[in-house]
Amino acid sequence: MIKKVISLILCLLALTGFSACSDSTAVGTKNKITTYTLKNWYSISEGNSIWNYNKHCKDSDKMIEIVEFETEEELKNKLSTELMSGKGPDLISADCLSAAGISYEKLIDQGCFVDINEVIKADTSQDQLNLSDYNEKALQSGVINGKRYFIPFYFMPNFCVASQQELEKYINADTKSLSYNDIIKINDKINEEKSDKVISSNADGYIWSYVYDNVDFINKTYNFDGEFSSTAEKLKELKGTGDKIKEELLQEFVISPYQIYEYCAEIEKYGETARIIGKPSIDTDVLSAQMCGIYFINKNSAKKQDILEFIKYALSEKEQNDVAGTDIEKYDNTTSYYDGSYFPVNKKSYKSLMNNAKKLKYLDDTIKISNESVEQLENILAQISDFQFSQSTNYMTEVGSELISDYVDGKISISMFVEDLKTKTKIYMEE
Amino acid sequence: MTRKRKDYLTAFLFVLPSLIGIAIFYVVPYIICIIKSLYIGQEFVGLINYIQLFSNNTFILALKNTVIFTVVAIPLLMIISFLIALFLNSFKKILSFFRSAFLIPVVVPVASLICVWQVVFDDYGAINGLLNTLGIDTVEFFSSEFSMGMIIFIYVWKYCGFCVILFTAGLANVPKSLYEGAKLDGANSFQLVTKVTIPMITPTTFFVFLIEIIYSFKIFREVFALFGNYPNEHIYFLQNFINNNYYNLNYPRLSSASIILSVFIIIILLVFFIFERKHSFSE
Repeated sequence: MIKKVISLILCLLALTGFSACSDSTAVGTKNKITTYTLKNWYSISEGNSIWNYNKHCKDSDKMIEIVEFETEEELKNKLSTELMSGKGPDLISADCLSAAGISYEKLIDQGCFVDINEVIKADTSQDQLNLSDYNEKALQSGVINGKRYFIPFYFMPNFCVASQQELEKYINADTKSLSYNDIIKINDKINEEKSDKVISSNADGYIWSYVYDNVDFINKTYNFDGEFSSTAEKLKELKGTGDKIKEELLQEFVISPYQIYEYCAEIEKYGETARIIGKPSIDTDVLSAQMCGIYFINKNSAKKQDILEFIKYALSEKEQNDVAGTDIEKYDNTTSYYDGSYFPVNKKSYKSLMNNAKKLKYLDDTIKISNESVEQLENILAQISDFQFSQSTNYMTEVGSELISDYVDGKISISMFVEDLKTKTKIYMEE
Repeated sequence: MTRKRKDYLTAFLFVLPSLIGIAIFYVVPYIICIIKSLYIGQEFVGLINYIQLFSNNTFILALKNTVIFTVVAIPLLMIISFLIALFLNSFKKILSFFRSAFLIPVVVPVASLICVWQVVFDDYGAINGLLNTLGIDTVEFFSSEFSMGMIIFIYVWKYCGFCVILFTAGLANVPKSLYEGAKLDGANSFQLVTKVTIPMITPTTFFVFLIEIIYSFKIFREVFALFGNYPNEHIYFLQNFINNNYYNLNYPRLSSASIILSVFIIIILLVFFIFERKHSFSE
């Protein structure tokens, strides 16, 4: 009898144990749209769109709940396990994937995201999304293999600002973008001069962008042959140059037109001509920008149409003006980041932003920007044809970063670096 | 109900919690895994996933490295631990000390061991320091073909002690009379080992082999901690492939690779089972 009782208790314990594996650990409120993020991870502008939308949204069921995770590991495990079991958050930001170390391009391959065109087609509301109201080239970047997986809300051009006269001392910069060889030439000449100049405070990062530029994640190709080794060796020499902030030749932190004009005004103040040019890239005839505010819709979501409402709101002229700081009345170098940043994809908002930016005075409200600089910026912005993801992708975290650090720190030779980069990239692309 | 039936029922009830656990956490997922490996999305594709897997260079590389590791590391560990056990068997007084000491590598946490291995195998580490002193060039253990040697060394070091204990237990059970009889027949030391000891400890050897197979898959923790998700091509194992495809959410590839890995283990065990049945004399 005692044996039977013990065995029955054991069975009951086992069954209750299994029942504990149910939804008890689920986070978030089921009737709301959910999105995951690392604690305090959302950049101010991107998080703003969600917070503003929640304030604007009258129906609590259509609000977006941001579920925060303490660690990358926790976020990664939760997100991947849920997606694998056919669940997961409704809205998945590129920031979230980057924090979790999950590759967006591989998730696209696995069909984890919804074709937003289909959601737009199914929309029966009065205010349907008209994609021609937005920057077509930027929006086209979200179309992969004929399906629109995301609509970027903003972009940041990969530009830098320099004095034309200063630049001409070092290179014949008549291309749209600087090349990596230009950077090497500039560095060599600066070293010969033994002057107080440095190329840029970001010079350490050129080798990172050089590696990244040589990989095509969508077509799964890479090129680490030919001049790659010799260029990498030269770019390696830039290590530490960005630390000694002296006189920077290239100003690279360009998150808004206001900031670009501030740099231009600084150059024009000394009677020189401001030159806005693409950051170093492999193809000097192509101008690029980084996309910001990227959200994917989980294919498992039952709230696809509700998410479309959020997308419409984030793309609206008012919201884009708010985030980009279109309506600021005075540019203040120290606080401008909080007033607004990024370039909106909404055409009306973009136009208002550019109009406002050229009207303002810069350098503590003292200098108005020249027409030449205004025309130059408008012209070069119109020529952007390559809209890219941020370089802090899963590839860089998993494959690139440690190898590049080891190489730059002198722990591995160039041959070992290139060989490892090739084999690991090959594995990353093929697996 | 007869007493015998009652006993069966009680026994069954005792076993039931384990059966439920095994069914829920092993059998059902395994069946789901087999089914998933036959689909891409919602579409039934038959063996296409398996065919694609064998045309995938990364999978072939992972399979090749796993086979090399299994074929080299497991026999090596078995031979070394058997020889140490034989040696220790002749020093009965210090056996209890070694019994405890050999278990230490198994119980030390992986994270702390990793720190030690990084120091030992680093380009400027202990081993390279020794090699350089002897006039030998630095060996890049973390980024060359020597990585496999390093992982095999760590595997042997970590699990050797445990296997030695298992072998010594097996050796202790071999009747002394067999050795005495063999000696009277003129057998030398080598013949005693090959003709008496090895056949008599076949069940122990089989058990050690099983344990080593299990441990060989556990070595992934060390590989992961030392090299991350993307180790160099010489130590990219099937576990890396499966783990990375889990985070890529590539279910068809993940499930078909897992099935192949399990079939690979089943085949090895089956071969050894047959071998054990034929060559075991211990009964």
